[in-house]
Amino acid sequence: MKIIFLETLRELNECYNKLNEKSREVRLGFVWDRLPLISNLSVLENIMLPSGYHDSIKVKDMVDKIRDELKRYNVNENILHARRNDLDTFQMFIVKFLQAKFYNPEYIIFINLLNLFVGEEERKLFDFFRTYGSEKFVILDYNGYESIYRKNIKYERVEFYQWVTRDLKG
Amino acid sequence: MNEAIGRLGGFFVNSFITLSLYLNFCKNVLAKLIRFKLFNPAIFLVFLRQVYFTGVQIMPIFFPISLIIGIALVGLLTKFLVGLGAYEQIGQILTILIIRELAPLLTAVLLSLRSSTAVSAEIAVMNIMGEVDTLNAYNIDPVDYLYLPRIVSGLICMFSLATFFSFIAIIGGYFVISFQMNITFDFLLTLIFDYLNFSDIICFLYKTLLLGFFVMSIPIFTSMSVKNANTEIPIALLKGMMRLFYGIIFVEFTGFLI
Repeated sequence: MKIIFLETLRELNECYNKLNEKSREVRLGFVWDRLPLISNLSVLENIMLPSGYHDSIKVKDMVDKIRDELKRYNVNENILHARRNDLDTFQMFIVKFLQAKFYNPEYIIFINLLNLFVGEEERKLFDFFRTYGSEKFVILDYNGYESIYRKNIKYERVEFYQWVTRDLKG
Repeated sequence: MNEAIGRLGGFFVNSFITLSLYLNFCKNVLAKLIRFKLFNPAIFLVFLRQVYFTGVQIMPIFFPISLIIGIALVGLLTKFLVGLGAYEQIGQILTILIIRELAPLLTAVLLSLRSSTAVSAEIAVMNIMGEVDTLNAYNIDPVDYLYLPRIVSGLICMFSLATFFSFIAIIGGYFVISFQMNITFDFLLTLIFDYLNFSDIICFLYKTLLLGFFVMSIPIFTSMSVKNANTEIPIALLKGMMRLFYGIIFVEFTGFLI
């Protein structure tokens, strides 16, 4: 798992724009509150959206897989037919993560997470990273949160442009 | 005086710019329509939903309105023509009135009131909430995923509902006629089909398809300009509905030429 620490909102926006540009060449999944779930789709439809649009999928197989994944991450599978507004912060995070995961990306980029997670939700978030953390995960967050990350998870600190030129060749 | 001329000039320049942007949008949409992947699972879901919202959910309102208009119009008209001793003209007048004029126009008005406003608000809210950014992040083309399924469903629903309207209005009218005159339904249909010619069918197709396209594409185009503030939504709705009104007038006017 890699973390890229940034100073300012402007820097964060520049990084996202660069990643968005790169996502035309390399498959990237995003988990960010500024990229919301589609409000008129259910959780299930949101998760299947990118993979359903780009790949040929069998809906029935996907539904079973998504149910299994939700159970795996301790999220109640009854949310499958719920809408965005019915989800709590952690459920929303998992749904966005699964949306990205089923898209089969090279990397899943988590952006500015600690802005939203506090208290019990923060504990769940770090449990998730400790248990399921992967080489495919890249977190972009502000410098100010570095001590919280250091205390909770093991990670490799990288510089944004170095990572982009080295790992996102396309 | 100068100020008034300046404002008038500004109005025409703005209208011309908007029209050219809309035509460019139509060009992009039609170019993608050729490669439209309707049976892509994600797109097909949006398409089915839109057909359901536009064409199926409207039925409880659409059916009685068609019937009432059929009964009122055909009934009154028949009474009038019988009074003039010109009841043999019923077929010609029903053909012109229902198939060429009323069916496309009333269907377009009902779809505009119900679906165009909904689509306009939906696209505007999606822009403001950043949902279109989510689609872009996953390389999902908004034209393919959001606009085309709605436009294609508009075309299909407009044509189907206008055809349905024609039949219901004629059947409703027949009930009234059958009380006033001793004619069979078969005879009424023969009267209508005797007068129905190729230009009537072309006119019906031209109006339903173009109105179906306008009913969805104009509100979508207008709502695409909504970016940041909630206050932009009612403005986009208002502009979209006014532009759609001009679109309907354009179709009605050009329909006379066929």
